[in-house]
Amino acid sequence: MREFLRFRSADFRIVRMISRPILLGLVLAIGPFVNGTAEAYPELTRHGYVSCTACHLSPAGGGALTPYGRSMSREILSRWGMPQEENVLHGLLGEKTHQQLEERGLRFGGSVRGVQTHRENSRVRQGQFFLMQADVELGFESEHWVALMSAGEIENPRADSPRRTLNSTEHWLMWRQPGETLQWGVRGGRFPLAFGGLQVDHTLSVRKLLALGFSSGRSSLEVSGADENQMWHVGVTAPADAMPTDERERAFALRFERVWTSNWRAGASAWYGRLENGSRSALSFHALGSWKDLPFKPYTHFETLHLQRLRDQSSDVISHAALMRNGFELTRGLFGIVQLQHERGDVQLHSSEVNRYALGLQVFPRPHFELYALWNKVHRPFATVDTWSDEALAVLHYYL
Amino acid sequence: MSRTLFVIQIFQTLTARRRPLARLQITVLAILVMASTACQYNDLKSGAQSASRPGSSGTAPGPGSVGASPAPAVVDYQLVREQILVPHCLRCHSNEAGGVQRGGVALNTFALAQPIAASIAEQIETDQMPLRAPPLTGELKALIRAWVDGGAVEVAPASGVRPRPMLQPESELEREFEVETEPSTEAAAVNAANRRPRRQILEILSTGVGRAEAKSVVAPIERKLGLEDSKLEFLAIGRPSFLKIRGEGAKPEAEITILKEMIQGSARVDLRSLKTGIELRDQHMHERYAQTDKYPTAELSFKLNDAQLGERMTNSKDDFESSVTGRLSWRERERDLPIQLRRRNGKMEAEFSFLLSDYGIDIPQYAGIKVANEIQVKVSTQVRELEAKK
Repeated sequence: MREFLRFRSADFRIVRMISRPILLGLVLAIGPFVNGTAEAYPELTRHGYVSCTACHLSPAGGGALTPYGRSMSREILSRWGMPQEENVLHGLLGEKTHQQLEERGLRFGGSVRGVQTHRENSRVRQGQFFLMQADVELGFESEHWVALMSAGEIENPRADSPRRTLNSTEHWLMWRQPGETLQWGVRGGRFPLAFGGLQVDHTLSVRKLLALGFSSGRSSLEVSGADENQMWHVGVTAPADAMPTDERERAFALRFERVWTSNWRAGASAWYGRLENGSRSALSFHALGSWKDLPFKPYTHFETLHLQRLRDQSSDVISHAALMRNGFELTRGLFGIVQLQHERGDVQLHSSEVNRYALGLQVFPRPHFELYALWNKVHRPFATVDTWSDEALAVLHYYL
Repeated sequence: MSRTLFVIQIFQTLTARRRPLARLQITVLAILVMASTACQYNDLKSGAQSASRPGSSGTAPGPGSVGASPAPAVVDYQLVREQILVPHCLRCHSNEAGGVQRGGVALNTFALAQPIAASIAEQIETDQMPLRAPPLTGELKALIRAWVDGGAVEVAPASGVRPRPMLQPESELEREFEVETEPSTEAAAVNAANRRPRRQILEILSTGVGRAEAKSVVAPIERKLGLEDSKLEFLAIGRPSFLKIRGEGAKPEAEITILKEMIQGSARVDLRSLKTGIELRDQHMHERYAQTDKYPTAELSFKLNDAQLGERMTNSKDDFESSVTGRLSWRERERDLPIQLRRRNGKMEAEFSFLLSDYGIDIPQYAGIKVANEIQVKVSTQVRELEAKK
């Protein structure tokens, strides 16, 4: 316990690290030409949306914003903001030009994410900064058609040689049928299948376990729908030849979510995939919502992913992970986060258990900017050394 | 009527050969018997609500009760439209301009409703309809069943007199009552006989408390009720993404009065206090659409010949549901609306919905989100007695 409470001076070094001039300069230099999502989910549940398409082009959320979502990024998310500041290039195009672009159905998006990580235990102290994402998105939206294409660079810091090639993590075309009581559509292209709580923070255990982070998009076909109280997705995905052998998967995914009282929702997802040498199946249950009448407007996101089963010729591994993120809005644009994560890569292997207890802050100072910092106390209860360690990350996110 | 004639026949038989004092005693006795049978009659009429359903036995018709046969013979589309379709169905099932045709179903004309009459009745009886609203009362279910079983006709063959609306001036009620109870001419008697089935239906429809029954309710005290701990909420759906816009406002100021045989009241809301949680949206709502500077208040009033409703609101601890017809006055326009009343866990709730277009409001649109024409309103409150006087 004493070890748990003993914060090291190096922990505070993160604050200095993220203020490095190089990071700021990089973001400001690239920022005007790229764009993305505000990662506002799920703290906005109290505002009563059912389908992600209120704010995003994608029916699974994330990515380029609709005009309504862009407007809300200033109105309900950002601490400060001037009229038109939420528009592309901070409104430099002028209101008239911006309106003309929107009326023609053009949508712009993209993100730059710079990440500073920190890891420390009795044996090692590591810090690393890398540009996690820098891409642009161009979309088109009409009554029945939606299209999106992204182009940019995604860096994988764990790869032997970071990818520096221009690629497109998402490009898809969707036909949709809006209606009075039901909206549904068919989407085809490259995108990640909807699964779980749709929390886009790829550092979470529940996402890592299924490799559902950035650049997890595959060639997919998905049917999705929503009405006043529920949302569902059914999709299949196919492997590409360019993918590493162990990632080639032909998968089928189902996701269903039900909304209660407009502030609370719960759902379940199922996944089955055939790999080159085996198969994997997974189930996920999630619930999230907010108490809008309480001080600081607390919200909760609970997600448990369990019974992921990876089978090949020589092994049969069952793993599970769970997440509980509790947040509260201290004031508009400033969120405090208390987060618990649990994962066990192999349920039969005690040493694979990892628990993370985290405190964090999420700040949306002005439209287009997000600051996110999370400090984890990591507990490996069955480890022989370094039962407790520290992991932290700080993200500076700019979206177009 | 048949019971009254039956008692008169007994009276005449008993008094034929008696002295005046005995005749007086028998007369008093007969009046008491009449009074008691009248009460029983009302109870039986309440029972007749289910008697009009297929398979129910009902009461045997007596002499002169030809016109008092159960409702099916006279239920026509117009009656069903007034009492069921308009207040409960047409908001979602109308192909008129500005209407909504959910599920591709429209019921606003006889030609549209008649072919699917059986389906309408079945969905209402099994509480599949109306959606997102309390089920219809047993009386209304009986009415729609009677219409279907009677051939789902557009106009009843023998109906020469239109039924009175549920909400009408008291004086009109009294005029009708006088004509019926004191037929001075043969024509008036025929008229009353023709009207009788209509009256039965209307009594069925008036939430189980017919006018005759209301007459029997002894409520000599005028009472005033007020609301406390009130909360007003509204829900609007933004399409195409089904954004749920919830708004809240200050508590409505209301006054409810229970008179001899009826309950009436009004509630006034200061719309300037309405908020939806997003400042810009509130600004648009107040300035562009509701124009609350110009029309700061809305008033909902209702009047019902059901004094027992007030009793249930204040003195009873039991949960209950009922429906009344109210009138929403806003932006210099008035519309009649069905209001669902219920007590749940000791709290009174009233729910109704209205159409923005009925009040001359352009459908709000913002950044691709279009608000549905129908707005649902819910008021939860505690009803307490303010004063009671003889």
